[in-house]
Amino acid sequence: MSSLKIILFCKSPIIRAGVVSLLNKLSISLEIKTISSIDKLGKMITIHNPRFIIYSSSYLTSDNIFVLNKNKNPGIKYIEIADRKNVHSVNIQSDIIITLDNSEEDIINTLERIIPENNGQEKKNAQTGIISDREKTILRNVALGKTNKEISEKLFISPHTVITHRKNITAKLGIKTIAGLTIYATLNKIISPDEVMRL
Amino acid sequence: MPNYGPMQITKNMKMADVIHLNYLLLNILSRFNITLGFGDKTVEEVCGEHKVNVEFFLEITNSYHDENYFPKKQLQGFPVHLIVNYLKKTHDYYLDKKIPEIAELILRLTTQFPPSTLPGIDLLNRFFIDYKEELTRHIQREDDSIMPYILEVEQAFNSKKLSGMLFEKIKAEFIEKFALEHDNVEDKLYDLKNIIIKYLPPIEDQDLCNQIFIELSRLERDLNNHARIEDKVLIPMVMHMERKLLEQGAYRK
Ligand SMILES: [Fe+2]
Ligand SMILES: [Fe+2]
Repeated sequence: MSSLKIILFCKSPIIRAGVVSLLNKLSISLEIKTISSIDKLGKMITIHNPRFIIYSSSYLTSDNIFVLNKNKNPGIKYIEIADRKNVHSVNIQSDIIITLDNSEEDIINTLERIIPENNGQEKKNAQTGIISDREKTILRNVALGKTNKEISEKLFISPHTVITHRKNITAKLGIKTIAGLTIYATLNKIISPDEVMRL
Repeated sequence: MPNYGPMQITKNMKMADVIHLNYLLLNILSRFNITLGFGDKTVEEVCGEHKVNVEFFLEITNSYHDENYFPKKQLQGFPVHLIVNYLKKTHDYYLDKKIPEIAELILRLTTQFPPSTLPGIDLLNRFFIDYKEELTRHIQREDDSIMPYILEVEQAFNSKKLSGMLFEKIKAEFIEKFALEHDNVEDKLYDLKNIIIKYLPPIEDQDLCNQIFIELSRLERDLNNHARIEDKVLIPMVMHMERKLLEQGAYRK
């Protein structure tokens, strides 16, 4: 499965690290390039060919915003990280806004909403029965006997999202019961037989 | 009205022809204690010899033979104990024959994979043992508690005499609770079928996989037919008798 390419543009190393750690919780296979200066953006887009650009708006000024706008590309989605809602020093049309006071759960839910449906691979997998990395994580927890509530708390996603994932897994694999899913997970090394035996 | 479904089984057909028509009906014979060796005797004659209600036999075989034929109304015309007997015989057939047979096949299948090549293959055995336990619990509840209750209701209905204990049980919605909790015992079989044809690595003895798949499919269908009789025929009959008993005021302090 090809991974989802993302450019993360942000001056603050704290925010950069925070965003990367949140993105990794999505368990979608990602390739993230981080840049700290907007000057490199144009070149990076050419090399990396991203599907998403995540940028922190607080460093955008009327002087450098043109770099971002110049590189506006219909194939790329823009995710803005703003200090607070509706505080825009400059005007750029982002597809989605995340603010620094959002909770972790909110951010993950927001990202999940935008990312999978833009990941072209996802649609193909539904037909071929291949489950995504995120679904593997869910499946692993199901096989470990975790409840929907426990899974949602552990992965910082809403219980509703867990249920949706589970429905998709069952539809893709043709396996309905937890016992059946556990066998599938073991045969595919998503969980080890020892872990199952310990249950 | 033209009938485009499979040929219906009638009492004047030879029993041997019925089995040639659908060999799966062999499973049904033992549930009625009908033995082989029927020569050229008709269904009616064979049933008569074995003291089997031929009309009941026909409704059961036809509903088994043709999934679209479900004689809910006709079946509800038979005494409850006939249906209960048939269902209990079917329970024995699952637990004493089919489940051990399939368990044996699955055990043979798992030994085809050395544990080192496919860790976790043992879980397949455990899966089926768990399934067996689940099905056993399901059936035991029916045999030990539900069926005796149903027979009690039938007896009260026939004699128009309702004991205080039974009255309390009816009031406590004993059968309604069972109807609600009566769960589906086929899901795991379906999963297992998919695991065998989709997810297990190929083995040399593919016939073994085919055989397991076929056995699971038959059991699945049998269970389906069985549960349909419980849910759509038996439970409504019991509720009907209960209602009538209460209406008649059969129980008086
Ligand atoms: Fe039953
Ligand atoms: Fe049942």
